[in-house]
Amino acid sequence: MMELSTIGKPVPNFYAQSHATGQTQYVDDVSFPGMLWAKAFRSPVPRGRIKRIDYQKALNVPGVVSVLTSKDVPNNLTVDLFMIGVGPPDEPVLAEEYVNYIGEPICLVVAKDQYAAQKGAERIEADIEELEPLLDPEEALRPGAPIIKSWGHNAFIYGSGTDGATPPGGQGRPYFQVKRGDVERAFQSADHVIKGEYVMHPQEHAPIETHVCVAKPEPDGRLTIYSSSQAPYFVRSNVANVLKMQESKIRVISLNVGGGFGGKVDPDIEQLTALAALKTNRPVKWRWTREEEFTVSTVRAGTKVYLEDAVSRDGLILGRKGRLIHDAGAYSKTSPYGVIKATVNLSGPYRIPSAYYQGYCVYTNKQPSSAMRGYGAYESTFAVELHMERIAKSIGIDSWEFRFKNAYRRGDVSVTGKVMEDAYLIEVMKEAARLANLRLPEHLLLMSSER
Amino acid sequence: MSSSKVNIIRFVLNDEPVEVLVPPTEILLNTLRERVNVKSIRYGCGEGSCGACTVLVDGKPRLSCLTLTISVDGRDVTTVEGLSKDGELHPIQKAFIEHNAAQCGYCTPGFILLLKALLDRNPNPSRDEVIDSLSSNLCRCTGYKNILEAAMSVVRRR
Amino acid sequence: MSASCEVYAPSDLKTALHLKSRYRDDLHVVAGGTLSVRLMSANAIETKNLMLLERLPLSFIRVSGRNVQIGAMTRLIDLIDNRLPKALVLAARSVRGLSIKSMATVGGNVFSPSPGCDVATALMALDAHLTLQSMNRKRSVPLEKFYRGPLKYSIRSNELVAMITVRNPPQYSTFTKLTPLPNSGPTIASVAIALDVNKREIVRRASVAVGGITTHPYRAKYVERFMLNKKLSNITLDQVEQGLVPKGLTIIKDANASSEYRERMVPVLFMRALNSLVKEVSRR
Repeated sequence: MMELSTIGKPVPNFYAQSHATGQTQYVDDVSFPGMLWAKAFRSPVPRGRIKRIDYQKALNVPGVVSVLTSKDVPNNLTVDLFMIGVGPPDEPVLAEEYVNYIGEPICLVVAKDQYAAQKGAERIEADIEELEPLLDPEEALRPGAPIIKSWGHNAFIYGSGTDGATPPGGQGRPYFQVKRGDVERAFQSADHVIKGEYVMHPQEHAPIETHVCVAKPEPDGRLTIYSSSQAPYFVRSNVANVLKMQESKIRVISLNVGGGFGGKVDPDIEQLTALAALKTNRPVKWRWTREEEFTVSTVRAGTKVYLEDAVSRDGLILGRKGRLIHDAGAYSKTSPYGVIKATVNLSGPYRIPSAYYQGYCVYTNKQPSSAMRGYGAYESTFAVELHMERIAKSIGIDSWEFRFKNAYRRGDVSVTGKVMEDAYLIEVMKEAARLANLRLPEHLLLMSSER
Repeated sequence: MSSSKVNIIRFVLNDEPVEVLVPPTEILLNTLRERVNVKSIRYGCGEGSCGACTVLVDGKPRLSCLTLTISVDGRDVTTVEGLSKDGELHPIQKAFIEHNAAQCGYCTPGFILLLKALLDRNPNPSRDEVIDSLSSNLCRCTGYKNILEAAMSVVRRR
Repeated sequence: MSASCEVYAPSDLKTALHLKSRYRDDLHVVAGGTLSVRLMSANAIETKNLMLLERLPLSFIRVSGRNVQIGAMTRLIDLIDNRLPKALVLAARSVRGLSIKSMATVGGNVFSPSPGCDVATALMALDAHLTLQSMNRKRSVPLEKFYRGPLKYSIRSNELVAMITVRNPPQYSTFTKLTPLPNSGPTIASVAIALDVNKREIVRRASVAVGGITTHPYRAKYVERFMLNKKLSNITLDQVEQGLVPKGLTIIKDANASSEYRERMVPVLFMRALNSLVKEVSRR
């Protein structure tokens, strides 16, 4: 084999020297004379109707400069999904009449330092009528469940042109659908039918650097935003939309990210920091506490997957039915898109000639879920690979053999109609077995992804 | 001085005298970052769980989020800036660079200072003692393997 | 905290006791800071006036024969000392990381609620006594009697813990704990055993302390009585299991473990501790 110059060789980290000397600059290191600190007053209940907010006592705290409410936000809607053509936007920047999860921001206190901001937030009093919360996504789909979304259903509506994947004008469904072949016939002709249910809990990214942003109004009317986001363009479009400003007037500076893992893709912190800077005409910093990072920042969605496979006597998958329930939490963020990824991945890297999958993006009164390292694909893979093990065990075949038999080969067609021009699963599995010192039987070693 | 009301705090930071006026309950993390402008110690949790804010006080490791600034009055405080002398990096810093023991870098100064405290105390710790000592610090890009390799390379070199 | 907060960092015990007697509960005492400063940052306490103990000459370990005196401001790292009973050394070693070990103090640890009370658990098995001192009085309280309920202690508002004493401890002692980290880390549950055996390995004295599962450590008295006069290697799990976690205790839970899991781990840890002592005794 040809000697590779880069692959397999360590590449020194560009920042190694500055990391080791502590000189790497993160957003929390940005500081300006006269800079103010922000702190949110957040919902103490998972679901409720705000009857009254009294922030006068916060304004009386020495050092508190301003308290922002939803009335101060020019366009009180976060529009993450706008960037990828998915809508409608459903998340207010600051809560208006309703709160939908514990920790949802209601007011933002801006003060001369972090102590005053903290004290100000503690002094805010809110009269919130508690409503019965939706905590289980499957309960949220049952008829009679309280509806928490303006479009009259607790799931995202796919297929009507707002999901980034289907043309406009189609008939909407409360799930994303993937269909291939005649799956009912596959089940009729199957020798085995194997069912499984797989639950994955939500996961927090827990970066060591919590969410942090500094926004600074410039003398020429422009706005500079120092962001720990992994997606500065998302930030710019979103802030422009919320503040009703031209994008060209907003400059986003992405400094080193102290760990993100997907949790800093959504613009969760920048729009309010920017608004606070504009309102006070001072630089403003907002840094979340570790507790906020855990309870308010996005998580990988908790997911439940039901799978049912039609399998022939000789261990070939003939068809698969899948139903995926994705817990989006209170607001969309990038969940409607994540569910599409999850649903199309319910075949895994296997040749499944007929399939019918439904992916539900369900809203509950919990902190919103969104991107995290390969989200969608990851949750499906967890379910699919456990299911592959279960099938192999229940039909009495070695699970390596079962995977080799059903692996994509060159020229196979995926569940979405994609022709596999570069299938390599069999080769990868052979190499994995070798690295694990596992001896595969000869007939498997003779197999290849060539047809 | 048997007792005193403390307002003005004087300490030596990396060989330089520092004088700050602080509220009595202020933690050293906030004083160093916001008043003295030392940015290499970092906020990660504020409750002693992550170690990103580790400093040395009279050579001993201290979590600056659990240390009141008034308690370092008259003491020597070292941050990672104080480790390199005349532009020459400390062997631990060099080892972190050689072993790629930092990815995002946010936790790195804390690990380096903690390791220095350990090696000053015990120049020849076993691998288990190193793991044991570093367990108060978290790395979320999970560079633990490289951090440990960097640490052990310094131990072997001694 | 009010703007008029006074801060004291006395360098002798007399001044410290004078201040304690003057301010009583109106004085927040800071030893190592791992508990007291965290409570301040979390706004969990109304801070009045502050007294830092770290300048007091209370950091010492005095060993005389089989008796040990430990100053209240001794840091946990200093307990990793071969002259001390093994349970104490193992408990100190099991505390998470070098930073916490270097900050936290023995005197602070006896106040610490679970899961941060490893050293107090070992001390309780060693029948340690606290020296509580006020301006004109000094008294000795067994650690076991020090806890009067969650975060309630038998200490008067004019007293400070000055010293911890272990008198003539049993010859054998050990400490085991369960933690999610590889070597040392946050406690899920812990067990400390201290005992004496005669030449035929019959237990002549035994004490068992359980930590990490209730707010403060406690002694498993039933198990201690059961072990008396039994041959050490003959003691089995089913004989003692019931007595390790008496009914009616409120078991804590946190991010690391549920209360049910904590409770179920105690017998496992007890047997690990017991087996290590059986081995040690048989090797002598």
